[in-house]
Amino acid sequence: MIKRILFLLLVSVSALASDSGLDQPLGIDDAAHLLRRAGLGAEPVQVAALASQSRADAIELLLDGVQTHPTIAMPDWVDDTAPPYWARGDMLRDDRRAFDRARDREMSDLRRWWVAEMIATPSPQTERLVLMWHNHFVSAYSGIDEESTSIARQNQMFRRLGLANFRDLLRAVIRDAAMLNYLDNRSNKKRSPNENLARELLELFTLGEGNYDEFTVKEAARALTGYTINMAANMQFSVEPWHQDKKVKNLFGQTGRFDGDDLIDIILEQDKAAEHIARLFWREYISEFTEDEVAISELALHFRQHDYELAELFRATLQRPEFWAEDYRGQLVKSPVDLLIGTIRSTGYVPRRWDALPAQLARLGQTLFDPPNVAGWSGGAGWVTPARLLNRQQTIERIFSSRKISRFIHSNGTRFGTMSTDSNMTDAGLADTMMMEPTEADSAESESMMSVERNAADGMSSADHQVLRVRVAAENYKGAPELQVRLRRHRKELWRSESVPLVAGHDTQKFGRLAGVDVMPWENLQFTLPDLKQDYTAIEVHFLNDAAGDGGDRNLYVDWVQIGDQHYYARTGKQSSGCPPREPDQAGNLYCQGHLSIPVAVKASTSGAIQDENQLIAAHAHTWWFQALQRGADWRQLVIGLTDVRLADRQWDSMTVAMVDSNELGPGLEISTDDCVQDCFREWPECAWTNEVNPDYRSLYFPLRRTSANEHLACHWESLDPQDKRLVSSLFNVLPQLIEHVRDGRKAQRRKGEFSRWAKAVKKQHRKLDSVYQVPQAATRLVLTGENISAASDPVEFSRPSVGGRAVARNTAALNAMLAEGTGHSVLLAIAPVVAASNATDPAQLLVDPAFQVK
Amino acid sequence: MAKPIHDRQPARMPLNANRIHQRSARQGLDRRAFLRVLAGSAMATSALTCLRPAFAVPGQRRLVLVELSGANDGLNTLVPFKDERYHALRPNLGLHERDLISLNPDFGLHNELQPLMATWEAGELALVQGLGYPAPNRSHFSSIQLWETGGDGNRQQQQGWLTHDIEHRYPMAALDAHGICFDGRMGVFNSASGNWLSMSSATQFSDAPDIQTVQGSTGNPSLDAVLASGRTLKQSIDAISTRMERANLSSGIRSSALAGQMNHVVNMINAGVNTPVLKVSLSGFDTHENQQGRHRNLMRSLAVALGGLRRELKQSGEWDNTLVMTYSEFGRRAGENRSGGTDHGTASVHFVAGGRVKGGLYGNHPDLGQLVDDDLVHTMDYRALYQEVLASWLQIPDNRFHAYREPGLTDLLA
Repeated sequence: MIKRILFLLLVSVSALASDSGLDQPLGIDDAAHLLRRAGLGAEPVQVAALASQSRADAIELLLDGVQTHPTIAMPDWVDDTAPPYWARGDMLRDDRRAFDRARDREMSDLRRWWVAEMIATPSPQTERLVLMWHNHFVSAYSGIDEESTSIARQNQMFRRLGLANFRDLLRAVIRDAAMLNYLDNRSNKKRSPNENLARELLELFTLGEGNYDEFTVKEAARALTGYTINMAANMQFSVEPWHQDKKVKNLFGQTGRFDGDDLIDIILEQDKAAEHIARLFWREYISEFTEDEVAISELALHFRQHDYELAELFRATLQRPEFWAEDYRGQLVKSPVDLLIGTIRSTGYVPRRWDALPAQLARLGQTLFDPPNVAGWSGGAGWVTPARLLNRQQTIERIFSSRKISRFIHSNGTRFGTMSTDSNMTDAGLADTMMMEPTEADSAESESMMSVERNAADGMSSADHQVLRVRVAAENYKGAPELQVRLRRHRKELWRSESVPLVAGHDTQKFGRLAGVDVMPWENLQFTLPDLKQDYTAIEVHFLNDAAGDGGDRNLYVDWVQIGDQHYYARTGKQSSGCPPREPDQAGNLYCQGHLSIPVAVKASTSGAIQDENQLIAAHAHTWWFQALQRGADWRQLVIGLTDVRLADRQWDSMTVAMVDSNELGPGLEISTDDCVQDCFREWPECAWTNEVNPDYRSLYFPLRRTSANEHLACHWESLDPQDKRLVSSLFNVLPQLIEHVRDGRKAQRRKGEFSRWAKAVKKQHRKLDSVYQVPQAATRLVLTGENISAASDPVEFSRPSVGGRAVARNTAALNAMLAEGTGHSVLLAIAPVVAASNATDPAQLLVDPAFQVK
Repeated sequence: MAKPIHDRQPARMPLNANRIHQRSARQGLDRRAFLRVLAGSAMATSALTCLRPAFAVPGQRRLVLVELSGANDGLNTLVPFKDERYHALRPNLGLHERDLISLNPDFGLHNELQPLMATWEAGELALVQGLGYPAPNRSHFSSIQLWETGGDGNRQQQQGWLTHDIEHRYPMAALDAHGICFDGRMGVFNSASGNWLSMSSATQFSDAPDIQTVQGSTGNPSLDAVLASGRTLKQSIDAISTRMERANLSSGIRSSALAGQMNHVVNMINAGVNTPVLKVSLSGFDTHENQQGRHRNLMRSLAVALGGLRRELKQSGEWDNTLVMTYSEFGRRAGENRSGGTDHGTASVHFVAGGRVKGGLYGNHPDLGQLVDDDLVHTMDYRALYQEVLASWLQIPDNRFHAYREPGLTDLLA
């Protein structure tokens, strides 16, 4: 009781600091506050470094430290050519499921990447900005047809522009692949407008509800018509002029033939825009509960006067007296990212099972890359609903249990107990102590299992022995699943591992069953193989201890097994258990006791198609889209795409071919600059068609037959480079084969009649193909290898990150020094503890105090 | 106005400010054991009198939501078997009179729904036809979110469709929880306020960690939200686990994929757990291929669970206070596909059952001759059903959806 009164006193006496006093030095308390609010948690090393700075200088240091690129590289697939998302709708069931699963696996890697980045970055203020924009311009992986590439690139965009000019950020947002999908603008067309993006642009992104009317939503939607993504061209933004509504629009009293950029300019002329974003910053950095309208309008004015420069708004927000005022301390509820990553950064303790963090965040309601709806995570009291508070408490107690934390601090602390934070010791000098953490005593985490090394950070450990790794996830019920790996040569067993329990399992009794593959708590187990002398023909993963009961189920999920450089995916195996899954590609889901057997017969290379002069080789062919052939209608298309195309020594990641039926020009093939990844042609003829929206766009039309109606297009063909002629000629040659190949796809099957008419027409026309297209060395045969359509990118390994990328011991030493000085709880708590003693020094005690839930 | 909350913590475990909240499995067992002792002792009486009566609002009604996850094929659930166009659309999957339970000359129910026929014959089962919304979205994720929040293809919403109205109608202090879900899918309960819980078993809370509760206000609104939530949670956990400890748990519903969850519902209701909404889900409805056998199993599971719920609750006298309602992201496409299944569609039929439901067919079946993009056109906005449930069942006439009021539904819950 006394404590509470004291606390209330503290709060009410605080008004003294209402003068923002930007020149005054921070001290430990303020430095921790600044870091906790502007970054993630309060890293003792950074707290110590900032404590002697003035408020103004500290803010400048944070601003200067904002980065536009991550410290840890994103997985390679993010910048590689996007997988053929356009083909997904045409894939048959098994291909599609494998394709989706591959994308989910990429997302699981991407989430681990982000968590690692948030822990290791020296610039947590960047991560807070990116998270804020992710939650402001919401796109969710679940709502964008498995487009992992798009959502990952959106994160890059937020990094690039998160502290740039708000106008540029908005322009990028209405061109963003994930956003255009999530808010349905890909189907926003002149003839059938879709208002979703326009509405949210006004309501959530820029002005706020009540500051526009329904008429404006409709007009804004018209301005955004035709803004779409070219799925075949690496998911690049594209404007389709034929879907654009180019008529006059009326926006906030202005009239004109506005497009998306005009719309943004007009929005930013409205007073409410700056206020809306100033309020966003206020809620992110100052308070979710108290909104000082005068202060917010001052911020808005400043923002607008500086032409929407976000760095100005960021600086002004942190300079506000309210930001520093005592009575605003603790007025933000920690998001799950604050709660877990922030605590990791504040304590320096990175859990051994750090790669389960994405799943733990999901359990607390913050699935990265997947906010629950277009308004994002509601935050504030929404993070601490009774159901979530329970999960938060359980999760904190589990990850940062008193035992783990105190051992961690103690063991590192005794070793470097006397080291002060401004020690000259370099990170390099401590680097080898980094991995020397206290052994965690959980039996499940015991290090006594000789042959098992969990999640080895440095990849292959020994050059002499083969290493076998298996990626698995668990649902626990009254304990974790145990597994055993065996290698066989036909029926003979060559080796078996000891049985090993999983450690990062999802507790189904507490949390229910897992929601999906992309939030599975994957973990890698590593075994060292003896010299086997013989080749094995199968790898088996055995699930030894199934259990289930009221309110829970114990299950084992296998993703892949890796031996050497080779990954063997569970879905290529066969399951023998009491309840094998109905779908063969789910062979790795062991719901009952039993095992999975993955054959490792040495297969002939799938790229075995012999490169032959007369072959056009591709991995797959799929119908992308087609319009019904109708008498009288002009310009109907059937568009077919190919992946991994090779012709002699040329190759393309993807290529789409449009067969056109035109009344005016006669039937033909159209090829444009958007149609190939790696440009279709060595050179685009001068006489190629262009389009008014995109100055780089070129398009060529090759009529099947030369007639007087199309003789003006002769130069499209005549001016081609001989190698490019060879490509066009080859495509013409294989057209009938191509049509036959895509006939069994879902799209052709769904509209069988319409597709048949196309097939017939193409064949009929093809017989009349003009001889001008016959060139030497053109391919006459289409070979589809069937490889790789759904292949996942190679699994990505991230080593266990350390806070700020620095040696663990340095972080602990700094925390220890503060605990010893009695300033430790300034680092851990934003306000006085409610239950714990206000002079408590045991971190674990502070972490379960209700005051720890706020910042 | 909530009455002052009696903090029962000291009776069991003195609140020690310096106590380190660290638990082990052993402590958990101890506490459970302790609770059992409590329940049978004289002390229990004092502990139990602190619980609010099971029904603070007399004759309190509750709603059981059943999500059919993956999108149920409405056209093969309530079948227009006389319609030739139906058989033309579904040459292989189409059900004939012999596969059906005839409800009237034109419509029949899927044979496997037989366990629901007692409910139908008692006039306690209604089927609401043609439910959907404008500008249909065919993505599972997006469309279930619309159903969960009351949005449509032109406008997304954020709050669970009944959270706001329930929170206003039923103050937290009068309840053990505003709603409890048993499938871990909380979308329909999305709310920053209120006490919406997720449990994976009915007895889960008997093993919950200790929540520190602190009374009063600190003057910090953020911290106050944390403390208030902690008190609510503590109350819920104590109330629910105490009720469950003294209840006779049954597992009277068997042979249904929904049995586990539905038994939890029955047990919670019969134990007097005081909450207006309970939510379960049956998944596997995304029948793109080999639909016939899979859909048959799903229909059986659904009917066994719903029929079982009625049987169990009639026995305990709670059926009259209970309304069950199904929902699903959309229906399936009118025409079958080549894999012996059906693809994502639009409008569908849903079940409403309860002791005070007026049974029968409601709304109009979508016209099979008027497909758009091969899909059914909805004949009733699904929010009309939401409005009826909120207004007539939960007695919130001035609810979020009152603009969707549909005269055709006014008899449903009269």
